[in-house]
Amino acid sequence: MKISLNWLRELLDRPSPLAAEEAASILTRQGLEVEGTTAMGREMEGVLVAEVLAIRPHPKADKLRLVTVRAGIRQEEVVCGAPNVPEAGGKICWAVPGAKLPGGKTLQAREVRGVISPGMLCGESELGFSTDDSGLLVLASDAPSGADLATYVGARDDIFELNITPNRGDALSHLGVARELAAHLGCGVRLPSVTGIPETSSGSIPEVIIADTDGCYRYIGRALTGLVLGPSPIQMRLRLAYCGMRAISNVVDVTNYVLLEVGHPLHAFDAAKLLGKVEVRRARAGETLVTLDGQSRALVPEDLLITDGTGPIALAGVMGGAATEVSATTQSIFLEAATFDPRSIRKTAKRLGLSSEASYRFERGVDEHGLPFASLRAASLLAQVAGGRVLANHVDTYPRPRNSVHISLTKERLDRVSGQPHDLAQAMATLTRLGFACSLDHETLVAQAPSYRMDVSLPEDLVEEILRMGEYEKPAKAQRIRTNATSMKNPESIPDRLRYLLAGAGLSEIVSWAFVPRTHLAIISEGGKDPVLGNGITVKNPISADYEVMRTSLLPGLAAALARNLARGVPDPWLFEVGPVIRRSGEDTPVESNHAAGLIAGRRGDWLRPGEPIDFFDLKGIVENVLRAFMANPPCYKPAARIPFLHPGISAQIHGDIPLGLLGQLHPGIAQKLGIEVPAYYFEIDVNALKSFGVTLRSVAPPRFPAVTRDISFWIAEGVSAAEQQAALASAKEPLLEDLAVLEDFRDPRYVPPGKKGMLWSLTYRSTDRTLTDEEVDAAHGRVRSALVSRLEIQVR
Amino acid sequence: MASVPSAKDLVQSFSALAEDFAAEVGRLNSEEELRLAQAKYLGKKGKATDLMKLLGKIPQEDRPLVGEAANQARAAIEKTVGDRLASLAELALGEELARCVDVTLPGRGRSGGSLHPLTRVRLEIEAIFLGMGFEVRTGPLIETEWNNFDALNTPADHPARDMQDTFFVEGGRILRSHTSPVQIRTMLAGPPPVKIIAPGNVFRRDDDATHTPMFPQCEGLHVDKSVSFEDLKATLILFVQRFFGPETKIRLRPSYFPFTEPSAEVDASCFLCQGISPQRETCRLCKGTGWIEIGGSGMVHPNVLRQVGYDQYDVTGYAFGMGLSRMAMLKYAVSDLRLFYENDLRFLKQFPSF
Repeated sequence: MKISLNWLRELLDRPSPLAAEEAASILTRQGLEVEGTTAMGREMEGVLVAEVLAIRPHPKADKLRLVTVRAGIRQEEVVCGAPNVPEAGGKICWAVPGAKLPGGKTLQAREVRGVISPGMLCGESELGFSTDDSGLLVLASDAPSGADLATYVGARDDIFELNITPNRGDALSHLGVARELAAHLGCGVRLPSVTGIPETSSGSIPEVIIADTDGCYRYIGRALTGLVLGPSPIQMRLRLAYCGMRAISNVVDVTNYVLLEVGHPLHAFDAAKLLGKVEVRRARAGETLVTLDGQSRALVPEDLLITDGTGPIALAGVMGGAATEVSATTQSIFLEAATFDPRSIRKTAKRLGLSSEASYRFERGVDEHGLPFASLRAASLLAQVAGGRVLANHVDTYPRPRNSVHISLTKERLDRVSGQPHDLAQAMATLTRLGFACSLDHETLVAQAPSYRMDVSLPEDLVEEILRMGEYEKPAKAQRIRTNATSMKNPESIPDRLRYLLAGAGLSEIVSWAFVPRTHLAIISEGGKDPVLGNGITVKNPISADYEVMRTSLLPGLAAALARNLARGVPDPWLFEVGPVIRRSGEDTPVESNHAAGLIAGRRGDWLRPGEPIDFFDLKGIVENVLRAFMANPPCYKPAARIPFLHPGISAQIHGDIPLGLLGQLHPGIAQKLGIEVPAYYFEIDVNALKSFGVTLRSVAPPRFPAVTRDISFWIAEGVSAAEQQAALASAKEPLLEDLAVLEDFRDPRYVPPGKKGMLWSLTYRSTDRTLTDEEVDAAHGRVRSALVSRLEIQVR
Repeated sequence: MASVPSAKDLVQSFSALAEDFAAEVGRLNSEEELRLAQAKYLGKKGKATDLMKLLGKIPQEDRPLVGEAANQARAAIEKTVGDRLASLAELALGEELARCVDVTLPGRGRSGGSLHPLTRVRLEIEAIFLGMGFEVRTGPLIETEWNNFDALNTPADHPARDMQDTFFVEGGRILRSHTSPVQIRTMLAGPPPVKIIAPGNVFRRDDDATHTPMFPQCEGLHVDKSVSFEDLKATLILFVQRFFGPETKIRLRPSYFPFTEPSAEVDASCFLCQGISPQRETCRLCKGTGWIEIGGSGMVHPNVLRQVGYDQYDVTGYAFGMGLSRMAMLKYAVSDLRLFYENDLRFLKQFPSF
């Protein structure tokens, strides 16, 4: 919300004008945050209010005239081409030589068709006030000759951009902001005068009926006649513009001006177009209304309406109707000042997408007790700027007057919530400055909020009011937290441990959106054949198709990041992400589980052996190392039956006692669809599953007797996996066999018989209680070899 | 030499033996050669043994003299061997030490990975609060409106809901717009005291230069008997001093959140200009104000305590929240919010693991 400093100064009852910086500082510290200050009208200098003394023709130009003007004691004859120079005595704007105008122009005396013109007479466009270039800006006849124009019309001002929180509907006006300042400064607020309004007794005012008293709390109607429509004075138009509102006509401008001044939305109906009595009621089925913006609105029964004898004439609190709109020919108006149920206004405004200055304020609460003043203020201004007279009798319907509640705050509560001992008398003084009516009853303060503070209803609200007048900014009095522990890792966070391990393994963490394009899920699920992956939870109101479905896998995000890095020429991207995936379950609530996934491509990154591309075993090595941190026994890796997005021959499922995840080469066809043209390797681990493998560390002392190793080398059919061979070797249940490891998987077709591979295993024998003899080792090795031969078809090499 | 040797001859032979050995050893350059040479003199079939066999042939009374000469010769030879071995070892060490590598060449293996800056900043913040006795709690992204709004004193049709434009998903649920539902879940799960922080991603329908539709937050909640606004201040000041540096100050400003009363915005003094003129006037971080906004806070609203079944007259609490993207931008001088989600390794690699 935009707030004018000049306006605030008018409303504050204090002799010295408040500086912009001080005002901004007070407001921000008190909770009305000033987000920015714009200095207006600083580029204009040396433009004076001047009086026309005489006019004569230009000797050499028909369209030009020589105008004698006087500003204070200064008097000159100025060349002027405008058609609307007022007669002698009229007040105009004179930019004297040396004057600066908006746009950085500095004026010099210059010759115009043989006559030297000392400066120029200005129109609104030259002064930067509007785009109107039709003639001179003519000022009111009581404008003080010789005064600085920018100051006189209020062009020189500071405009604050205020961020008002939704609870402070009372602060959505200059008066509301001035009240806050006054409470801090200890001065009063000076309300504009509303006395001496010219009245008339001729004419009539419609009857007002509030049919829906839940929707409309109070309705004040005033009738004004004898209005002359036209532009408002420049001062009013500038203020409206500075506060972000467009000037329309003097009548409409006054309602907007009062809205900005005291915060009460008003509406002016053209009285001539209003027929019969005014009724506030809900819409009936099938009713429509053409609003001010020319659109026909279909109404629903929850919409609150202002109606006359013909039907709807306005959407209450949201927007007026076109049929009763004030126009250039309007002479009399019916002025509405009313308050409505905030929820009702909000519903209608939201449904129709019509957020107006009025609805914004009604949603946040408008004080019914302020309505009479707002209505009078508007009448007073209308009389001044549009020449109207007010019908002596007005209507004021207020079926259920609201009384603000008494709130009790004990000293105990105040001290407990604030954490500091308070003097209730001082607290009472603070609240009184804020407009509260207070009394003290021993250890209890009883306060009644001013009618405009509808946000205050609880003892805690009073605590905030007391604290915000200066105590927020004070540093904490005591060192409440005593600890020397400055930095601790969260030892229980498995996701974070995974992050450390994966980063340590050379992968870089990425963060991707939790929602993904639906097409990406279709790609990784083979067009939805895998429903768990393909059928994600839908976002009903996504910003765009990129944010349409909740991710069921971390692959889309990683693939997008990998593709982007490859496209940007980043070498060897190794990426990982840890975060939730969201999948459907049989239950009402979808299942969210944390996954850790990695996607790597490129080379191994060893400068001594450059150019070596990574393969499946680089990926598996990373996964094995990471899982070691969480599992006492290594998991099994089973050839994957069918994972849609992985290479069918280079992929595996990881199992502990329960499924843990998967790994493998990305399916080249799917990789391509995801924008990846190089071999890439992917793993995904269910983080929650890791929780069940709480490793209880149990150690044994290092062996005291030496080990003996024996190798065994053989040809075997290609399809027999290392795991099967290991199982066959272990089936000997040889007590002396301590360890066994693959040394070689040899497949060079130059040496290996067709369909076979050469395997080399290293077996380690050891006893815990003696040094083994060669004979003992030979015997044990023989038993292991027999077990192998008896289970698998091999040819020992 | 058929004649019987005299004692004098033998003594001379022994001393000659030591001298011969010393002469021979000078040419030998390995321990193996040395040991062989030593055996040639002192071994079972060595020269010294041969000489000793003659001992029986000389008079009894001369034998001690010869024996002493033999011992001296043996000792001299052994010393020669020892000295020579020592000098060889020294030589070898010298040679080894003369070797050198170009230590400026890169190390072998893959250079380290990295932690995302949003993870790093979260871990830094968690560590500080863990040190103050807070627990870390997390919760689901898909939430009920009740947990996200109603329980937090934000009824439907209240303008406060405009403060957070929400994503809706199937089944009448929403993507949480803050991590406050974790506070609600924690309080519903057990009685006070509760002292937690709740980091995690949240979602709002905003997508522009300064907003992303998903962003990480960290909220804190402390509910117990007599937890006060002063405790909130003290907690926040300790936090900012540990996060931004010991000179940091905080400023609380009155504000409004439906779930807290009193409510406060939290500003930290600008760590770049320290709020001191003339640097302050041109400071791009705080834009000349001397303060940077870091989050919101307040005393838990009695309605929230009541909603979770806590006795609002018995316990009080404070809560606070901050955006982690903003904290990471401040802490790591990140110029553009979008960098966090582009996942460009050239950016990410600047944030090594701890």
